Amino acid sequence: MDVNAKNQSAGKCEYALEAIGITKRYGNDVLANDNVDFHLRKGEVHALLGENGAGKSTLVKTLYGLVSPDSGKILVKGREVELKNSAVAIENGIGMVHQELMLIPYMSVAENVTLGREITKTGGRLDIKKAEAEIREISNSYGFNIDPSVPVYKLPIGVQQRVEIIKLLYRHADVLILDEPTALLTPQESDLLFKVIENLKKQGNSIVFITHKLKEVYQIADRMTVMRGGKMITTTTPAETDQAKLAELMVGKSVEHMEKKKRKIGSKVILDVKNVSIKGKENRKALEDVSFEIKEGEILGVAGIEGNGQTQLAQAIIGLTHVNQGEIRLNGEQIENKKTRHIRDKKVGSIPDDRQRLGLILPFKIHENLALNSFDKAPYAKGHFWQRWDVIKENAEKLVKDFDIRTTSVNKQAGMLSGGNQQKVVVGRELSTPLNLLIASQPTRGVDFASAGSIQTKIVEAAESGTAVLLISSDLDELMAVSDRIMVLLRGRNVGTVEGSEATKEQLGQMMLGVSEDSGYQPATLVK
Amino acid sequence: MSIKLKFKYSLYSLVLALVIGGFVISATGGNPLDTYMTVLVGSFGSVKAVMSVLAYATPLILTGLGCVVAFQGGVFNIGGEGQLCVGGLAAVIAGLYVQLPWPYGLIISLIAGFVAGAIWALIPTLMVGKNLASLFVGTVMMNSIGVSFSEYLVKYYFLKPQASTTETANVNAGAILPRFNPNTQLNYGIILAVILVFVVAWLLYKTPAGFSIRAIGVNPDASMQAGINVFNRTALTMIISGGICGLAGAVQCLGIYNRWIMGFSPGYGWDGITVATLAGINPFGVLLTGSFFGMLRSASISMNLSDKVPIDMITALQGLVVIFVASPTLWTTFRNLFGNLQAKIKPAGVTAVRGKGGKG
Repeated sequence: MDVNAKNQSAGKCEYALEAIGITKRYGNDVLANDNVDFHLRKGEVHALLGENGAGKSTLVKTLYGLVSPDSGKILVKGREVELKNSAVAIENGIGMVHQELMLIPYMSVAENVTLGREITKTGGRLDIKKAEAEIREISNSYGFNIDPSVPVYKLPIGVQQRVEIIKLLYRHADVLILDEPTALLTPQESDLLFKVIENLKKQGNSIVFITHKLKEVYQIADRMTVMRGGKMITTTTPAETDQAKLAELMVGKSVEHMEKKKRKIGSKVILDVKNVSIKGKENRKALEDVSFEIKEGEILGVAGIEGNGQTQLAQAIIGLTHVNQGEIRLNGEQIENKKTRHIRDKKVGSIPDDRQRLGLILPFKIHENLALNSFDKAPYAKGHFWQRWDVIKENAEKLVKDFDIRTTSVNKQAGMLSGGNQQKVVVGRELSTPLNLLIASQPTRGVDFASAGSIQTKIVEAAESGTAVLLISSDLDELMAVSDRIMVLLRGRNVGTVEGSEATKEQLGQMMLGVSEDSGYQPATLVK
Repeated sequence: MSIKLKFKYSLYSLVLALVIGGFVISATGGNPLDTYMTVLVGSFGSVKAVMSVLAYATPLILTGLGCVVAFQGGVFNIGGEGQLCVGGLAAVIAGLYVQLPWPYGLIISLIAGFVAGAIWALIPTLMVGKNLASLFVGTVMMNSIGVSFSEYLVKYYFLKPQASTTETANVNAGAILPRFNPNTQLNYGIILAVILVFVVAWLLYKTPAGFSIRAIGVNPDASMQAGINVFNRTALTMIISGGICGLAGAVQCLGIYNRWIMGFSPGYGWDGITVATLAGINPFGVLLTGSFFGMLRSASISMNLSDKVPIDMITALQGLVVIFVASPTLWTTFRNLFGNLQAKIKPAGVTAVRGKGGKG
């Protein structure tokens, strides 16, 4: 019945979803969306592009009923609707897969999918068998190959993402909004996702695809819309616009690519990690017998699918995760299981992987956040009893300039900044003093490429001045562009290190998945 | 939320509480306007009335201030009552045994009160260790322990000879917190309270310690990443918070009763939570809200004398204020509601014109 309804409305209107004249202002001065028009044709993959703070998030949140616009209207299949909240959006066939997946790890796929729309037998008892059957049917018709009875935590992140998509299909959504879906995926998983998207398209669904990665646009998009500074710049097709032109449209000026320079690597070992093991959940080891060293001025990249021990490694080095075995030496001094303050005093900086939860205090002002790691030391403090706010602000002004943090004032709350600028605050703070060691976890995740470029440049500059850098990233392009060597972590083990100049995406991807080269490429669809 | 907005919401809550309280008063057969008038006259009608308001406000400002420190540091310290009770007793014991002329005896006693309150707050902190999330349960439990423990100590070690109630003898003259005027309960404690407001504001906003306390209060995870020792700072927060609550007890005992007497606090420790919340956990706001609740307390006594309205009405009013302040969603809902209403009224004409244009 639903299919019929879909087809009928398809005949009436060319567009699955339209936004007309959307304007949204946050507070008094942030114009997030300025009279934005967006048209999603039925059965197309439409890429939505723009830097951080360009207004993409606001637009899709408006389309998904999470933000109510100040003016403008939304049409679903030609019919004007008021999307009061996401429930109404779903009723209208609009679904969204968020960047951070919203699944409950210990519940099965079927339970996750049906949550909120449970199938019940008489007496309100759950009919999980029927649910599983229905989900299997959806899964098979789209070629997803998912077993609905498996608990979600056992699935790789790429498959979890498909579970999110099934969640929407189960609720009869035919407009799917995917918010940076490839941010967390390996190249192989991304390819699989693109196949899934092709399938979805074939069966008449319309897809909005948000991304920073220009290459992907050319792989799958039928059309693309570029946003900049809250305005819709243009809607075009991949055939009409080449990558350079597209990048220019997004940034508003021509973009220079960072050239990889050969840096001088010193002979002195700064960080020496020996046979480190860390206990994880359920008696599994988060890290097992990991050893490596980083020399002065060297950038060691760490590749791996999220959750293979990267976080624990970074946290252990700055003393926030207990090391069960092995030792970590900084300039020869043992630092494992020491206090964070003690380790940071040895000139160690750390960019945590979750800027909003771990990197910043969002309600605090920008200048307060910029001083968060050194507020109690000179020149920011005069003894124990006086905070030098004037000095803090002065320095903040300087950092805002140096790191190109776009804000009208350092007195603004950090939470008011766009994601890229928030990240620049974290990076600026950590790099505001000379360092022996910098731990950078996902420093450019969810950051537009202009900001990402400037953050990468800052990290490379730090290395040039002699800082040893541990760069943990799920962006292989970034790792290959910046790192001297790349270490791959799989299930907490160091499964190999490759020279940055020799690494290829395919090789890294296979190491990350644990697929050996001679056995050929096997997609990691299901871990049972 | 900005301070301005918080202030606005506090004010709205107050008005709403008064309106609903008015309905309740009329439902019980009273006249709300008369009642509120009695409160105002009873509070500000004479110099004596104003002094009475300030006398009641003194302990509330202090406990409110103690709660502000804790809440800013992200600890839900609801152990104010116990800290106050123990602090009061420690101050009185010092006042009984330290033979020093005024003001030295007084200073020693006040310090004893602060230290006892601080220790009482520190005990649960040390016991929960790194598991700070459960600290608030610990502080609750320390309330009844504090009250009973003080009572036990007084009954068995410090009881006034031939006393008919549980009370100590009067403290030495050197330890008494003097009153402004023999006819009033208002004492120099109010000055101490006002000074402490400024000290706490300075501590929170002008010192590195305050910075770290506030940082932990908002985001302990990020603070930890930045190298702040969260446990140490929380312990410091509790020491200051508990100390100030202990000081509140000391001020009551030394300024009003000159001794420790069972039940000297009608729940000042608990009211401190309300005072701090209504003040938007701002140290200066506590001056206002503490005085406001002081007014209600003072009024409840004059009301009991002159009106048919029961004293419990004041407690009900307090409760209403807290409920409204504690639910900011209420106000955002209201704002959205009115916003929608306005939006619907305004463009109604526009839609009509567009309808004629025949776009559909």
